[in-house]
Amino acid sequence: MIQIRTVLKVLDNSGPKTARCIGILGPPKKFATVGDKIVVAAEGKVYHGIVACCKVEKKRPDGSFVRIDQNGVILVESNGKPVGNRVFGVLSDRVKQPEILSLGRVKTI
Amino acid sequence: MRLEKCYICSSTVYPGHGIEFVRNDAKVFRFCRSKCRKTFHMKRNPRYLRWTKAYRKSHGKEMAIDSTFEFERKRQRIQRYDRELVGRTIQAIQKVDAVRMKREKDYYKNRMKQANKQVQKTAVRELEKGISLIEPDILRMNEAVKARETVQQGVAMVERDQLSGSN
Repeated sequence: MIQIRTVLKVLDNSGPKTARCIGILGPPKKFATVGDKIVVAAEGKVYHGIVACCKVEKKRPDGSFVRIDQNGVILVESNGKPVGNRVFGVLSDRVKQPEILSLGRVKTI
Repeated sequence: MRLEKCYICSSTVYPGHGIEFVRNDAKVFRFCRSKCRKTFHMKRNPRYLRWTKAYRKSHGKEMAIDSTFEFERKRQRIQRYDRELVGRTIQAIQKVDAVRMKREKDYYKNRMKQANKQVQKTAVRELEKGISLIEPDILRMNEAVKARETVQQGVAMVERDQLSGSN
């Protein structure tokens, strides 16, 4: 459940380490979750971002719940192209955008 | 679908139960219920919690090392689906399970043998300490036994007399 003013961890190597959510794209709603596009502000610049993982439990089709330990975002330009070219850490399996999945993955220690 | 074990108590987590927690280092922890999940977040070590299998195995209460456990290891190699292989595997699982259960039972029996000795020792000590509490009952019992013996002897004598009398 990401909302305006939420500070998310930037999971790619685009530069900034954290980004603050300043808006949620798409049909009007209060909360964004994994896979949604949001507007973020990072180091004085405004980007779009795709929520990559979310602390709140997500229900899986088999009925089980998954919880990830951080709120993460991958910075993306308005046309959808990712700003960085490597992704660190944990991505939720709900992230299905091919531009994100095609980025190089580096597992954090 | 794969049945996983709970990280804390080692019980099976069936589909639709429990929570899977993904830590930031990408390590996945599965919990069967909130009790286990909460102990984990309290940073408790399952090896020191008496109700977990980890404790029981590390303290020798349950069989921890056995060749039957080798069969259940997860293999990283992907197996091509083969109907016959699946059938044989299922039969093997049943056999291995039966052997393992028998061995676990024997392990428990062996462990409890020592316990029996301990129980008897404690019982003897308790008897020595508390003999005064039950002394009157013991005396009464001894009297009753003696009385019963006397009666039985009397009855035997009477029967003998009757027999000799009739003869």
